[in-house]
Amino acid sequence: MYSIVSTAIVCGIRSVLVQVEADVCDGMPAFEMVGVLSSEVKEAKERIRAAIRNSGIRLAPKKITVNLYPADIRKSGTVFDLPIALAILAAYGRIPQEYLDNILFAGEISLNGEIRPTEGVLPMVLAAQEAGKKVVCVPRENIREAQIVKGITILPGDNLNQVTELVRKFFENPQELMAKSLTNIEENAEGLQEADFDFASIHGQRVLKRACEIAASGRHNMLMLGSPGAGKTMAAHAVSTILPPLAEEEALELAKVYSIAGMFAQREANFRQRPYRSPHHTISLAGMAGGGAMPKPGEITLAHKGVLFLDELTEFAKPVLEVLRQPLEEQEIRLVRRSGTYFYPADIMLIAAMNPCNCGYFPDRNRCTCSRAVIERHLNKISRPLLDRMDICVEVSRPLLEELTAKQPEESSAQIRSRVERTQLLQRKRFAGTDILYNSRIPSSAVEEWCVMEQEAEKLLHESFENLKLTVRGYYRVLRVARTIADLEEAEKIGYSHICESLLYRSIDRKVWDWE
Amino acid sequence: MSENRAARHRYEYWLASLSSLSGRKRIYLRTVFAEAEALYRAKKETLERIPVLTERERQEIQRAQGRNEEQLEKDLEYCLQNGIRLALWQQEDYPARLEHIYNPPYALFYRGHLPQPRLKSIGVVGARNCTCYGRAAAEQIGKGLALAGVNVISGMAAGIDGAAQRGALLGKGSTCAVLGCGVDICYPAGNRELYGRLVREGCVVSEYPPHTRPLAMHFPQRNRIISGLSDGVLVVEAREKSGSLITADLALEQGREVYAVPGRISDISSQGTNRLIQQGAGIFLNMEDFLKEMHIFKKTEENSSKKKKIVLENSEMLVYSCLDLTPRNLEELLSESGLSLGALIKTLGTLREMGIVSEVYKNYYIRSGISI
Repeated sequence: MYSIVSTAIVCGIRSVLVQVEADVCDGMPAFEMVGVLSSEVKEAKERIRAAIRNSGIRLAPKKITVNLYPADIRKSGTVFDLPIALAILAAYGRIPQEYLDNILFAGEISLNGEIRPTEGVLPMVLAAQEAGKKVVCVPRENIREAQIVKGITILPGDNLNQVTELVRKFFENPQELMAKSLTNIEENAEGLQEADFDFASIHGQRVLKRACEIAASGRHNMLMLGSPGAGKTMAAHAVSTILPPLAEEEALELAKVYSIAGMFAQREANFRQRPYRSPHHTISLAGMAGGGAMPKPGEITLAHKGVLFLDELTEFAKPVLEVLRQPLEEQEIRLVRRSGTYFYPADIMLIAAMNPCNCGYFPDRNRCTCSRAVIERHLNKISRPLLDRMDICVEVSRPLLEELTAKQPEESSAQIRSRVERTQLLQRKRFAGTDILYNSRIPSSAVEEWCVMEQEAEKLLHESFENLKLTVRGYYRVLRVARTIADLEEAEKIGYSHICESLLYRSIDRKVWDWE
Repeated sequence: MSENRAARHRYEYWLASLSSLSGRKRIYLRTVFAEAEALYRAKKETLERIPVLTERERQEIQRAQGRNEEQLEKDLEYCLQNGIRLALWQQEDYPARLEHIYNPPYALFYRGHLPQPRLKSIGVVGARNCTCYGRAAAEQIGKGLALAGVNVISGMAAGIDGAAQRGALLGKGSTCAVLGCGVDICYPAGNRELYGRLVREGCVVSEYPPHTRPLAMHFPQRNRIISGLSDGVLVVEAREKSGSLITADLALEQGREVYAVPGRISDISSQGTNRLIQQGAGIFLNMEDFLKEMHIFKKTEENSSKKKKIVLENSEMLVYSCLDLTPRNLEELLSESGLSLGALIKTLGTLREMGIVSEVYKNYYIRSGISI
């Protein structure tokens, strides 16, 4: 007898439906599986055989053939266990085929027939929705991520017997189960979770705070330079607390990414919170960009719509840093593998921190003995193109003692966030009708159009272009940041003081350490 | 003229390139053999009869004798093409000051114009890892000396040396760099621009033949030429153990005046110079006093240097008064001036436009354009 069951596989950020066909006929007893399978899918054979037997189902020895199609996608992962087991049972006639129609199944099975959680459930459920399926059956541990998708009935699977029972029940009385499963996740997703970090706990550092606020408002990349223990790491973490919450679409996209990475639990608790990722500097290229034969999202994708913080920037391997260049421009990363090209979203706000020299105390010559060559070598670890993509660069010094012990209250993250939100709203209104969202994303060709300056400001910028030997890219960067500074004050045109401040934050270049 | 002489004296060039022998020995050999060619053709037995030569030196000479005339001709051609000239011992362009030092160089390779012998020369030396204060002082001193018509001698190193020579070029004066490598090599590479200007507008000198790499052992030797070429040596910044102090010692041995720029007692970079003052070196307080003590009299026109009067507003005065030659960062300026961030940024912008404040490092500021 023949049967067919629907399941799905994750490819990059999307998911593709896969059909599992099973055929059972007389002949030499055998269990064959075809359809471009990776080794973990081939191993499913043994798991399924044991799971069926241990669920108390005795099957007569027959020739079983299972095919997974479309055949042009390599099937990997463990989501196929459940659909294969069900297809076999249906082919044996133990479950009527009509029970299984129009349901998408996914889940790993253990030898005793229990259904185990799996990765990438959310994109699979979305794929099911796109394909017009109204019902999915996923492991019970994964139902929360499936529930994000509205208008889908979810059948939670515990073990093989329970699933066969469940599909029967659903076939006989769909209304009852549908009503039960339609609880939505939204209730605990509103608002931001109470952050463990707050700007109020950073004393003094007014320049740094101001720079953080500007960076967050226009989603500008930021580089912090400073001696060890100056508070760079703390500031970066605090930036994530002044970013406005995610819009629903963004939150869904991010949930998808985390579902694929098997980290959905992290998003579930703070669904609308923008992610903050700070990978250690020993991270590999694949860890940063995403990768593997069947690619998994890397840190830049996990930081999508949020903050990617790279502490000790000079310690990262050069290729790991260089790989950031393309995503920083295009807000997505393209991974080309033999099995296909994968796109992952990577709309990040990059915050980086580094010491000014090897010992970290430059320019305090009483403590720093690094020679010019050593300092240059230190800086040379970061390529020019990457520095060119840093909109805001700020020096962070150790706070003064009186500031640390001062009792006067500091502004809280919530206060700063309200300003950031207002500024972002202003940007959205201005860019309405274009696909620009933030000042930092204004293309060079449109900078002149959006960044209108007052005469005085224009004069200052043109003089600075000569005096400070700005690059063309640097010139536009100064303008974009000045636009954000003006937006913070709700100024129509960019004024003299805005350019002044923007010039203050301009990125460092090779000459910074060189006083000659 | 001197190119022709170099071409004529192929063997003189050969002897000049024999830098493994000290200047003294080569001068001695030159007197013994009367002609450089005679030494070039000297047999082993002849060399063995010369008492001052060690076994190693003899081998060095013999190895050098292996260079055939074709090669020498090629080297001379290279010098000619690159404007590298040769000042030989006891010839007219050889600096007279060097003739009287212990172990004078046998020959000097140079690019550019050797300083006029009539000009007073001051060596300005100091640390490579200098502070902003030292750098600003060196630059101002270089410029002041140049304006007073004094030749500035230094080593074109990173830090103080380079700053002094940049200052001298700024003052459109004569300046001369003594290198520890061949004059066709720019070391440190970061000073490429300065090197180019020195070749065009000043002078680059070395006792080592072209193509010689900057080896560590060359630099103490180079220092004796810096002090030897100078009438006085001024140390701008030096740590307790510094190569600049070696130059100061050499200068004393050679009978030159030694001066030091004082610094704060808390600055490590000024400990060496303060120590020199303690030991009896002259103290550099300002250019006028220094010149007087060195018996250098400014050209009258420079005395009436016009000083621009800059009028500052209140906030500008406030910020300016918070600054000196030690770099201050924004955060310090904020708490010292009591201004708001916006006001401070705007004021700094104006002060920078006026050219009296400069950013020496990311968000660190100093006063600039102060004359010493």
